[in-house]
Amino acid sequence: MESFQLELHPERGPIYISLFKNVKNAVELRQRLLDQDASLAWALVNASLVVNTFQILLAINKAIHKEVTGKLKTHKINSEIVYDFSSTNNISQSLRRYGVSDDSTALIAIAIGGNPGDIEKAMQADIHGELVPLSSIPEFSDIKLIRKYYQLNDNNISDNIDELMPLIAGAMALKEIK
Amino acid sequence: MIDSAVLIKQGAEARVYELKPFLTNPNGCIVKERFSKTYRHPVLDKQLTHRRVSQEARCLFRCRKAGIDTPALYLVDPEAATIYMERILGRILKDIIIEGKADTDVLADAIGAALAKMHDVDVVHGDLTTSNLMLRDNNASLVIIDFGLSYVSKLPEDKAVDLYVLERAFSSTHPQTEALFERILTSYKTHCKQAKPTLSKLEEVRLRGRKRSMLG
Ligand SMILES: Nc1ncnc2c1ncn2[C@@H]1O[C@H](COP(=O)(O)OP(=O)(O)OP(=O)(O)O)[C@@H](O)[C@H]1O
Repeated sequence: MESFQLELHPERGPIYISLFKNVKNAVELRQRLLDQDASLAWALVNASLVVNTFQILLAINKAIHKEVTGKLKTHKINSEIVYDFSSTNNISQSLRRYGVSDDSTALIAIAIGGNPGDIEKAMQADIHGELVPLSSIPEFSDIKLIRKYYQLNDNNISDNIDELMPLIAGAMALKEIK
Repeated sequence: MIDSAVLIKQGAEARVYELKPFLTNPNGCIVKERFSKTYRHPVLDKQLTHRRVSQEARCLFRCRKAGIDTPALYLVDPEAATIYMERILGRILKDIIIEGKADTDVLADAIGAALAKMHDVDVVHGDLTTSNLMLRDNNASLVIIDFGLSYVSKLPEDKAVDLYVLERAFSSTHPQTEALFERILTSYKTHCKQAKPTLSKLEEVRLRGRKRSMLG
């Protein structure tokens, strides 16, 4: 697990992000989300649609900024974070794509504030998988799907992360902007 | 604005800040905040500013997606009339040209190619000057910034005026650069799919400009 600060909203406390691979209980996790089980206190993100930590921080930053300015679309910060990975306004589709699905095996768990020791332990209790460093995110990125969902399919755009990331950032930033 | 942001430019319509670091990026980001023109009606003003901010963000992204180097968008807050974007590590072209060390042929070719691509996706910048063009330090890529007056238009007339604004900016800021500007147009012509109607409009726009300056 790694911790981060948001420059725009330091008052919300540190941000904790963990990457789990070989996750065995995605079905159970998804069911708990469907049941709105409040004891599952993390935003859970499908790691295959993520290219790096910066993308994760952009989604968290946007969701928290919307929370602070009273603009949440999904009413809860954890679902808003998942929603803000997406470039479209369709909430249920966004949560389906960027959240946990029954066949997820690589997941990113995000917590806002709290004690890091407690959080890491509680995340590991909830998510039955192997905790690995965020630097291994690229091993799980599905570039083809990322390009499809972020509508970055033009031939002039390459698969290179350094070229894709600014476009992913823009697509995320422009969601809800009319 | 948050305390750690440093004001780097107070313009007529916007304040530009540097915020370092930003989300683990040590280079930080640029925060551009538009403010109200007090002489306008407050409700109307809010709508106008709102629209300007989203238009600026959209045009930035439209260009980036078309392969033109522009700052990446990080967060757009229309209510606060604020855009958070990539901070380009580089220098503005104005300073580079004044310094006089750069190969201006290479610069002109890059400018013409970038403007051609921009006009091919129907983005009209609205404020082309050598202060709104930058060169990245690491790879000398030409970056177009400040889309604060930009809009989408297919009209050759609008694109021609865009080029004319840059021509005037060159002649007022950089004397004796007529050849440089001609080279920009040559590059524009080779890269632009629809250069002809725009360049013939440019002739008309120039004539009108000359007449106006003779009268004035
Ligand atoms: N993304 C960026 N990266 C680095 N520097 C930037 C960036 N955006 C703006 N700047 C710097 O800030 C200055 C002003 O920015 P910008 O032109 O967007 O604001 P403006 O208020 O619209 O300016 P103007 O009134 O001159 O049109 C630029 O000339 C440049 O030096």
